[in-house]
Amino acid sequence: MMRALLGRKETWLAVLLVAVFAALPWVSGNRYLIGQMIVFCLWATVAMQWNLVLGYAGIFSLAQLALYACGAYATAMLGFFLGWSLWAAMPVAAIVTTLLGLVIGAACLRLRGAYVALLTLAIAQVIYVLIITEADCFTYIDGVCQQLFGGTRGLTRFGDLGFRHLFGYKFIYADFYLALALLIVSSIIMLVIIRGPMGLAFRALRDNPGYAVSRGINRFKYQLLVFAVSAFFTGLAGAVQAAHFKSAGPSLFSPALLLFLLAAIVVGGVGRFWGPILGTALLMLADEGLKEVSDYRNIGLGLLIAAFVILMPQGLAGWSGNLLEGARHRKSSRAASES
Amino acid sequence: MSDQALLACRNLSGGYAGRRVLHSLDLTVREGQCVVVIGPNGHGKTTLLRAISGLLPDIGGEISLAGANLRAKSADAIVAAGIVHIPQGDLLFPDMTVIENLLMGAYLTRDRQEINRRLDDVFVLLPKLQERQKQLASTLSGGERRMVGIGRGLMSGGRILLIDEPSLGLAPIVIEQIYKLLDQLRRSGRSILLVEETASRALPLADEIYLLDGGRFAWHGNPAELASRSELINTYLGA
Amino acid sequence: MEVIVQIIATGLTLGAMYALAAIGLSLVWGTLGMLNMAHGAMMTIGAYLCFYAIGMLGLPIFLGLPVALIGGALLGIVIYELCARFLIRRPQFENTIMIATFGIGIALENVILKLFGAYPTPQPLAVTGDFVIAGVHIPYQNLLIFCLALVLMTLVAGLLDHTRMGRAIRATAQNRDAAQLMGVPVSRVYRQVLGIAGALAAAAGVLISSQATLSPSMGGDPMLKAFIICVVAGLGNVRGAAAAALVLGVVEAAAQYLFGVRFGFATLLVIVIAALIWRPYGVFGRRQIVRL
Repeated sequence: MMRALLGRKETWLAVLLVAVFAALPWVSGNRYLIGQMIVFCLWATVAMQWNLVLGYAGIFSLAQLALYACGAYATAMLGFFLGWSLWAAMPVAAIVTTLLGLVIGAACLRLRGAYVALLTLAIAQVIYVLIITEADCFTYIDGVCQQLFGGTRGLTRFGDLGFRHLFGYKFIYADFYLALALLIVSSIIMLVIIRGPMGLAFRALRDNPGYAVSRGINRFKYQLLVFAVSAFFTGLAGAVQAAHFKSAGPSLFSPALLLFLLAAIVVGGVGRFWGPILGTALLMLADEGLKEVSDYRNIGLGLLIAAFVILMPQGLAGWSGNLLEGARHRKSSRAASES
Repeated sequence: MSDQALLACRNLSGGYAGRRVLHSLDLTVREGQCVVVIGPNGHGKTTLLRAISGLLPDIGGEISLAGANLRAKSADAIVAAGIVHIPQGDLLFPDMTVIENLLMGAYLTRDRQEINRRLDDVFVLLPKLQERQKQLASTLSGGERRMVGIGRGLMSGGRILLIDEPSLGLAPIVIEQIYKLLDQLRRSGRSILLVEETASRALPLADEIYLLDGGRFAWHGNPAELASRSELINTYLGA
Repeated sequence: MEVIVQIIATGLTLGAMYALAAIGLSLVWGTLGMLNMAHGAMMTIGAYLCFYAIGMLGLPIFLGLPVALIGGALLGIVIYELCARFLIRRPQFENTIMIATFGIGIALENVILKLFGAYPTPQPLAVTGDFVIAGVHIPYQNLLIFCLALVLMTLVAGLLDHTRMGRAIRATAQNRDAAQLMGVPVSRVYRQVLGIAGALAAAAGVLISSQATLSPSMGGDPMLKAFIICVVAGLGNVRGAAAAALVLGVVEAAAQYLFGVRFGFATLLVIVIAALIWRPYGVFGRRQIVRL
């Protein structure tokens, strides 16, 4: 099945990458490294799901981090206020996020292009402002005021996944495999969507909306679907993030993270399957290497986005794809001329 | 002979985003001539005019006006050189009044007196526009819009008029008026390159005729030569 | 009664500042079809330029605003020359330019952060004192903001309606191809429009910071509000944007009074979503006919 979705070479590459990645913690047990690999899996998942909306469906939504935060907050709140096990809270959080995604998608249904960007940005901002300005006490815990969303501090101490109890200090390995599983499963589902008839419909809607609609492609249905799928996995990533870091706070909305993820998509390649993974990996590595000049990080990321959009709109994935395509083309044409 | 050419296209080709529409066209318009290009829809008539006025991104070949090369010049420089393009479907400025639309035609002219003189000329030719001058362009009828489009072109005072399907979408009686106007312009000595799908109205104006087929000129010559070629008339002019 | 006067005074001041921010955004959208996500950063930079000129270089106070206007205009032109110029002829311009200007905006904001630090600073362009209407004390600062905004908007309206440059801008916005056929050099028009929008954004930034404080992220909130105003008015409708800004300023002031400050923005958002569901092309917007 995978071969039908990815092609033989790409499938082997994917299997190899996953194998190397999964084995890495056993080669080096460095906890910082494993922690960063968890972050990579989460961010790559969010970036891929954002790319599904942005690159494949061509809808410039800026509410992706609000969905990520929604997954994290819902998990934390279910654990904190209702005492749920996180294993029960995470899927419910993903479903709650899906509903939010559907609401946002529905609000954007009749809008196009710039209007979508404005509306989603405004929605995300309002959610953020309402959370950080929350002053009313929802309840009192040990006589201390507790806001519903935790105000500026966010929520902590809402239980964990039980890995520490099972595996002791190696619990971080389990967190890692959970995050990796999330990345793999969400990638496969995304492939099923983009390489199937749905993907064709998206391409048609993005490249020639008028024609697509006149051929009977229902824009509303596909747009809601893409928002739902993207929101589900983004919410799940938020849930895993909350479970791993044992906190959910307003920093999930940070513009720096929005910038980083958008840069990852643009550098990797908008509307390319490998783009966000490649972009996230490269930018995280760059972050590590450029720690001394981290003051300039956001300036650099911002300029990088603009530079890639102007100079290399296909991103690195598109560029290397064209390179491979070109090599294959030269090879086949040489073979043809020899015969 | 070529030194008398006002507008000359040599080996002109062009198209949109990878699709080539025009294939090595040669065309000459001499001073005071009315040249008519006839061709069916979708065979490159509008594209030809857009190529001449610099609205197509990539074109090949040569275009010159009175010997000066126009190729690779920007659209505004081409207008400044003296090409006046009266586009298909009028392309008026909908939220401007009739008079503002006309004044936009003289955008490159800074001499107020000259502008007023041209405006008077246009109002003599098209008295209806004077009545409607304060009205927004978007509120005009189809025939009035066409007249504003032509009047706006005349305001620019260029050396040659490129007119794209002036009869398109109009009632027969209005087409009659428009062609009467074009005939007046021709008689006053204006050089005109006229593009039409239907030949019956345009041919009587023509000094020279080009038949456009699939982005190539299938034939060109003068009306007398065309009259003797019944097979061309049957194929291209629908008898 | 006093409450109503208070709400109207606050609302009109807010509205005047938003209007300055919104008309620049709307003008750029209407002419280039470009949503400038760096508009907020342009406001921030304008505010800091004024601060730098008066507070640090010690220039006379009346030069603060002109310095900001010129700096903002130059910034707008640079954004055109280094970014928009390359993208405008490519497919998917509407999306790519949003992504690119988003990146530029954040980069600029962080340049300010690097140069001036994160701590909020007061804007030196301020007047003290107040006057009384119907028992309500209204600071002269509010009056100054309102008057400056009004003067700038009148200038822009005059420029658009009565100058050759303004006619070329309107023509390009209404029909780009036709404008080119009239000999309008559209790339020069684009540059001018981004220059004007940059100057207006800078002025908005100066006025906004004179009421609150300067901070590197100060542009974000008014940019969102300018967006909302443009959406309500219909992107590209400059006059509609000015009118909508004044109305929404008063609505926000009223909502802050009635529901508390934190719900001011949320109320605006509810209004804008309702407006968009009712009319997806803006309240005063004209439905664009898309030819297939």
